[in-house]
Amino acid sequence: MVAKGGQTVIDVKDVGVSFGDRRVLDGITLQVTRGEAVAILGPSGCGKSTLLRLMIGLLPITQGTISILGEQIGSLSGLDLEKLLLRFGVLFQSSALIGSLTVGENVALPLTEHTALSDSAIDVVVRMKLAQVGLAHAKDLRPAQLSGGMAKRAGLARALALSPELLFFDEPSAGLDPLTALSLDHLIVDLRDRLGVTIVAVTHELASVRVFADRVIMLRDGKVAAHGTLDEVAKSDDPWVGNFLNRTAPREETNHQEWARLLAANDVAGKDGGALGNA
Amino acid sequence: MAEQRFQLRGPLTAATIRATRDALAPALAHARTAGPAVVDLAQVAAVDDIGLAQIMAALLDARAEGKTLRVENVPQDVLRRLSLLDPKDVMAAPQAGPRAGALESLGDGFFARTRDGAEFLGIVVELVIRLVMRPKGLRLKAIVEQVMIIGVGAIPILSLIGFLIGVIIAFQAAYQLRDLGANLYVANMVGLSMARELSPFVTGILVAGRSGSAIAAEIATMKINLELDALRTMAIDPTSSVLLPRVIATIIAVPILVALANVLGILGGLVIAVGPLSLSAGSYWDQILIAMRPNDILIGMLKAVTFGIVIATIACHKGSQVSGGSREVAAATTAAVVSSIFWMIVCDAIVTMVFFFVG
Ligand SMILES: Nc1ncnc2c1ncn2[C@@H]1O[C@H](COP(=O)(O)OP(=O)(O)O)[C@@H](O)[C@H]1O
Ligand SMILES: [Mg+2]
Repeated sequence: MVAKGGQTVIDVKDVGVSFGDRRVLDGITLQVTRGEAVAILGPSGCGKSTLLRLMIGLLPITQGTISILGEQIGSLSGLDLEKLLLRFGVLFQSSALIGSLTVGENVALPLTEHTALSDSAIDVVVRMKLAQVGLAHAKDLRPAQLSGGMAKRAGLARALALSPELLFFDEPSAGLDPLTALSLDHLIVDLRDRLGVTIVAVTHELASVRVFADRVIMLRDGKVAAHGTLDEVAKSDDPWVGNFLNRTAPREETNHQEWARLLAANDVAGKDGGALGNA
Repeated sequence: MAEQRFQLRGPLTAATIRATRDALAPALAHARTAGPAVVDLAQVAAVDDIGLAQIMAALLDARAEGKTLRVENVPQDVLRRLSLLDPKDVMAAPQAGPRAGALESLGDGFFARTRDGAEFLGIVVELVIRLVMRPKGLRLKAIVEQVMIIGVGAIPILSLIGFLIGVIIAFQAAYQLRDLGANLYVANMVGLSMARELSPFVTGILVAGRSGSAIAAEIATMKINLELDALRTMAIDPTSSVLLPRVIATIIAVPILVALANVLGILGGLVIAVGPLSLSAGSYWDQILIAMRPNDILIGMLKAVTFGIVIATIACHKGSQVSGGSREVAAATTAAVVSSIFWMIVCDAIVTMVFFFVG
């Protein structure tokens, strides 16, 4: 998981999370270097959003440490936390635009709250950010009036409002048609190449990853299953990784005889399903 | 012990659920009481998922009780369908699920309520701390906006209600007073009942229904849309920027609305006094001034502030508790209204009693 050269902006060490007795993340270690676009890839429910919520400080860190831009995110509070939060932006899967505000007001929100800019200057910044994501015409629309792709762009404009060094995306292209998804992926590439923003995107969309990711970290069952460039990962020894990347999912067929034996088993089944196979 | 063989026949499908059950019953009974039973499927015509589920349920039931029930000669097409499934997923031990006894659920209810109460206190403490800290996220503009929605927006309907309640009290009072020739005392009844009890109470119920529900629904929706999380990542504290303005605005709005209801109630009484009761406006007004002491207004205002606190904090609490989907938003909204009406009545009773004994 160690990236080549450069300054480490995200350093996740041995992070684990359980909800109840369900272990969702288990010993995750990864690093992200300044200026790269990293995709955290894995099937639905593998804990990607949970990992993201840990990194952006929405979930308390119970095991391991996470350092973002050199700060331990779990241990900050008050003004220190605020300072760190303002250095990165987040685009949520649902965009999470404030429903009672217009698109323009959503983008203006971080600016009015955290800068001393005049109203007219804020208005200019809002126009710039909306233009950056191709939404200049939508300033006065309400979030409910936006299509899925527009809402993501508006959320991105808001995340960009304070010109962050680091951007987090949760499923940037999920639920969008292929062309809209592609345009969003290109936007991510632009942000990295032209603005030098470091990008961490959680996704299960392989097509997106091919477009924007310098590096992928594959999660499976709460663990890092593989990491590296797509080509490196594709050579992984783990057959599951290959299957995921090639979209081949061989049905794990239990053969007929196994079931026949199970049904005709003489002994009493063990408490867990595992003992069934030993009939 | 010799195995008893049970030969099943005909189709075992969704159309033959009863027949399948009746055919399996003797095998299961034998396994339970006599000894190992074998269900033989060699003669069956067709087995669909429903029939298969019935067979597997019998098998799992028997095994769970430590008895032996085996299934033999399973048709090839059934095995082929089964082979797509992982036995672990299907052959789990049957859901034992002993229902919680009445006493236990009572205990659960008690703990849920205790936790609920603790969470409520947590939110109140957080609100107070934020208020004392004068957070920069708390904007005067947001408070004014909410006062407009919660207070000004309620003025038309509240005026009408206040006026009509004044009319009703005047009539009710006159009904009892006219035989005594004491019509003038209608003014006492209207003034005192409105100021001390009915204005705060009716205003409280109106605001709970109009704004308590709206606050709870809005916060709940923001929560499930992750809008509150989005605010946090923008270093904007939701308690200061979303909850607190609504709480402060409600506490400001309710007393103002109560004062308005007082005025319109007294006006309603006046209309009845000068109309059907043939009193002069001057004598009605003089009697109002004689009857009402500052304390009567004060106790009403105390109730108003209390109700404002009750409505807003309960709405914030119920709204922030939501974590699931739209059904929970609806439940939170309902709970906010019902619970705040209940607690308003409790507070009303306490304030009324205290003032009865104290002054
Ligand atoms: N707050 C929570 N409480 C309980 N379980 C949760 C919570 N958040 C997520 N989970 C569970 O954790 C697992 C991983 O969720 P998530 O991180 O959202 O997956 P992904 O984003 O990879 O699809 C899921 O099984 C989900 O049900
Ligand atoms: Mg997710």
